[in-house]
Amino acid sequence: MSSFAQVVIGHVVVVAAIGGYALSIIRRARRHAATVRREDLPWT
Amino acid sequence: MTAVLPSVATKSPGLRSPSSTPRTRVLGIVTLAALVTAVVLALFVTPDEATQKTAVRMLYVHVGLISAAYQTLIACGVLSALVLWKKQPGLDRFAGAAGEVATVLLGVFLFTGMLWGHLTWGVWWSWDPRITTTALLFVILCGYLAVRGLDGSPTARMKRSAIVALIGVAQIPIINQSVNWWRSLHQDTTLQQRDIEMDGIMLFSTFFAVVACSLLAFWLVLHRARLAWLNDEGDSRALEAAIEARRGDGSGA
Repeated sequence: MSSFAQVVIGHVVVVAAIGGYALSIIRRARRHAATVRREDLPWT
Repeated sequence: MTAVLPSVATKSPGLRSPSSTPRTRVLGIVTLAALVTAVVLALFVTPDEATQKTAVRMLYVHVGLISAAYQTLIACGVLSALVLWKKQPGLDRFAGAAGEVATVLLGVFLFTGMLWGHLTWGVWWSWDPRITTTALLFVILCGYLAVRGLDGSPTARMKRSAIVALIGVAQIPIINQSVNWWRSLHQDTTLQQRDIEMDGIMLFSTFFAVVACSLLAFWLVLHRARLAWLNDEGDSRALEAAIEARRGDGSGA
């Protein structure tokens, strides 16, 4: 496998790891959507 | 007569993602665009380096990730010091979020370094002073997350985890100076030199990756801290509901 292909795969792994972590935060937050009201959130 | 009670657990219309606001959505879109641009610059715009050849393309994201990891870790350390002083759960939530994000970024950073080492040095790992001290910091941060998950009173947990976070922050100057203190395979300081010997587009791409990863870290910490607030709020509501149910059982008996 060429060096460039390995570099591309490396970037794909980085995006997958951090993207997966970001999506897990969003999904876990969405689980609370049914139990909180917008006016209760301190950041809205 | 029909009693109208305010519902605590009513879903508000349009509340699809409780951790986000219009501003954080804009921040998220800007961050995503910056990251895509950083990857395009690294893979397709910047030239190969004379000795490292195409492996140098790993270094843009590598530098960006460690910069963001240090920023979040320093934020975690400052917040942890404030937690020890003020003992406020809100500060602890942000400290925990910053610590978790720093761990993820540092783990991915180590992977990019390993891949670069494989392409340049021919080995995935070397017990070089800088790499070893960075790996030690990663272990300390994993320990920080483990300590945060331990049982105990919230006050004791806040104190314990804040002390571990400060130990982690103390590791940063050791890592920074490791290439000067010990004989190292790792390259010496590059970006902190007065006369940086880098091609213009390479230097621009490096700083662009640093900005993109910093935006990413900020977005992640913000949303992770909000998730921690939602979890705490959910736990306290569940506790209140359980107490109410117990009281109801007691009065009915």
